[in-house]
Amino acid sequence: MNIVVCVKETPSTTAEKRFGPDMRLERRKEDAIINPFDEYAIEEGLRQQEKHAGSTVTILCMGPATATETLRRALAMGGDRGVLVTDPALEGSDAIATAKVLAAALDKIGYDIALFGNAAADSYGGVVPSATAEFLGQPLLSYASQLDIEGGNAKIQRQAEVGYSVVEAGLPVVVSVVKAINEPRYPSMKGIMQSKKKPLDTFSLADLGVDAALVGAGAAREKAQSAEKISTQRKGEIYMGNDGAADRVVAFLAEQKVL
Amino acid sequence: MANDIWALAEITNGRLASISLQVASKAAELAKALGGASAAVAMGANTQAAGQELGACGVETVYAAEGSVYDEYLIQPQVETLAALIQQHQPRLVLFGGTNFGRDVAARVAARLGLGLEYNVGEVTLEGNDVVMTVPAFGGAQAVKMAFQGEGTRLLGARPNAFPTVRAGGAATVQQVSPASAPTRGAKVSGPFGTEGAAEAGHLGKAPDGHDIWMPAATRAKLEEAQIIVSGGRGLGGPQGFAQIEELATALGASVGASRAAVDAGWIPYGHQVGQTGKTVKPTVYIACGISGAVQHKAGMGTSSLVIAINKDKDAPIFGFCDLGVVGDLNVVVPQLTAAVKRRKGE
Repeated sequence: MNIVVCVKETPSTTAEKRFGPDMRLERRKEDAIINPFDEYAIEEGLRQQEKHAGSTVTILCMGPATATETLRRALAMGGDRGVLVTDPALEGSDAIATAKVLAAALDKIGYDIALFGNAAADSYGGVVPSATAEFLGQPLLSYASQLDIEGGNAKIQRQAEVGYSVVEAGLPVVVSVVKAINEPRYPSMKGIMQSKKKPLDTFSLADLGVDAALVGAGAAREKAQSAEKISTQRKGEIYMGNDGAADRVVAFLAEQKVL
Repeated sequence: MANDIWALAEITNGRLASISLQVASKAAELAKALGGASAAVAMGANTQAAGQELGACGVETVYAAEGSVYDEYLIQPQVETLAALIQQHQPRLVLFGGTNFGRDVAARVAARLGLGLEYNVGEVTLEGNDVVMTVPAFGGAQAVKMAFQGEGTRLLGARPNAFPTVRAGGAATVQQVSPASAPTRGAKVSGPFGTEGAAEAGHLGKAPDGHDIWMPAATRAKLEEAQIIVSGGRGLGGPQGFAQIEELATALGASVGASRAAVDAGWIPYGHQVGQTGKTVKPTVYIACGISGAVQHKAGMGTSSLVIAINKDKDAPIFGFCDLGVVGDLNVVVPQLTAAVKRRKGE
């Protein structure tokens, strides 16, 4: 079975974040980590590989040229090889363009199962897995808290707003996972050493046959105009006594558009 | 056409999600301001009833595709129907709720038709004829104003509870649409809804007579993802105190948290603990009941958008970092609050 795990490089959750002059998140190489949600997808890929003899795990990332380091860190957890899609024209791509590129890379690599974390910690959009499935023309098994693959069929427990439902589809398939699915392993010293020797291929847009005019900041359909700090000063209103307190809280919730 | 604003309704097994009414209300408001027509797209079972509810929120037309196929397959039939309707009518905007369903459907439709897509939108305003969206960034520390570029239909994902439900009391024209056919390579919903896992987190502890107190199964968002959290602490006085916390949480559609003191006392399982050695949460509203507000607790909830505290000790540290503090008896205030919330929601 050919397992491909798609990962995103995101700034560390503790890194100080700011916008660059182009109103895009400033990404510093030294703050880059594997999107924490994607670690669950990597772990699931590795567990499926352990269950299905003869499977390979490829870690796929679209990012800047320096993302090779992030890919090596992913490969330290396990997996057979890394693929980095990098091209200056990709900078500023929106989610749909990103999905288009990942789909092209998945088609080039070949896959039976393409695994994603359900969202990224920097944008929390959660739309790339579904959009990628559409570009690939494959079914999507999303928000999986459990994944079983048997006889060319993938079956998940799909986390829902209420409980979960069971959803299944024949391979090849795109699967996005939630944190409840597993506990990602820490890379071992041996894994870190091995990761340095694992093959790591780099694809450009031309390698994938994707038109550069369809991706990048120029093709993005959404544009940030301005940003302002939200005051973290708390209002600090104090209401004394039981009488009328409940009504004051409800009125407050209504003022804040929660109710 | 040029200024038509639509809302995507979310129906699961015949049940209309409340966020559908929020986006429908907003669609009606925006269409009116822009001089366009408003509509909602309802697919699945009970679309007639859904159409009435959506119409009451002001949308003029409801495109209703009635069929079991929408529950038998995941997302794909909804994508077929919505994409076809968008191509046919070319609305300017389609609002969707930022739920798992909304994200999955909108992303696929955007990819198929090459449409713009924005998500996590907290506010939409009109500047002349332009639609300006406000999206929080950096964990809510900043608000970013976004605009769409270029032509064509745009999809706009609303954060839960970003837009109020406005029941203006209208009636929509329900227009039947043929349901999608089953996809050839489909993700088939083969099992019933399960409640395992949800139940694990729902054990509230033991009542004085020894029986287990459970939350209604599977109705809670995970604490980390919850928009509203009602949390209880030592001030509850015992495990039975969580019953009233639970009732308030149910009324608000909230999840239940706890302070370490309440967990250490064995009133509620560890999975509910918020704080330095528990979970870090960031809901829109955090309601702390009988929690003093130790710095370790603050570490787990200090970045909540709004903090409401109810405590009888006016010197409790929590009153130093709340937006609204009630100095009062939670045994009186919490049940009254539950009743007031239900009244407000018309329950």
